[in-house]
Amino acid sequence: METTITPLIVEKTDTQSDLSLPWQVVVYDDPVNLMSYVTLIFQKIFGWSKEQAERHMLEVHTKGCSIVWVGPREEGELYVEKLHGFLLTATLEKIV
Amino acid sequence: MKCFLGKEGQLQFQNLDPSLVKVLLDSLLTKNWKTHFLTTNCSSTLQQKSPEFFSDWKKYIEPEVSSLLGECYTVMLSDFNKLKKEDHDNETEVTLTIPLDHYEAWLRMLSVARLALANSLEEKKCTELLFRQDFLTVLQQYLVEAEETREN
Repeated sequence: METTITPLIVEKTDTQSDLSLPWQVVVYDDPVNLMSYVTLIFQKIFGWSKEQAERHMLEVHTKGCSIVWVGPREEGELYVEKLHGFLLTATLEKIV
Repeated sequence: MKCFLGKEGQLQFQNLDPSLVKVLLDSLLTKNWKTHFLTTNCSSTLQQKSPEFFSDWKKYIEPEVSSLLGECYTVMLSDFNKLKKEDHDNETEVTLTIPLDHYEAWLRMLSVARLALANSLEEKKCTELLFRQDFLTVLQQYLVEAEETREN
């Protein structure tokens, strides 16, 4: 009896590539949230010192945005959820 | 209005004029405002800056954040239900107490209200809305300072 062996083709999906590429969490400026509030929230979410949190807050304020985190997508999604929970405008962007 | 930080970390706003309490209630107890940030600010920024993430955000993150804000609304409501009213010389003064473990809920809800007010102010500038915005800003600043004191 003849048997046919079908080669196994593993397709590389977008999801696989998305997971392996680094992503960045970016916080954008808004004209409403207080500078002291943004600093406090950065300290709470990222565990930063007040100085480090202020540096990022000032970058958001003066340059319009600040990259606050870089890493795998799943972890980045959690940070975005936390930032949105405190009403900060944040995105998760693929680094290309 | 006087603001005190209690021994157990509770923040107390004393001698509040009833008109200020009305401003607070009108500004904070409007339920549909709680999703304003998500449906406008977040959605448009994500669609523009990160379209490859937007559908997942819409499916998984938006409902979570919306639910969280709903819980914060309930917490804030519970504090409003405990407002203490006292009459002095034909004048009513109100005390609002925010317990330590309610700080975060109030910080979030004050931001929700301030962002919504900012959107209203873009459409129509009026003294009443500006006053509300300033008053909510003062309250939020007090909360931020109280939270910083607690963390140090």
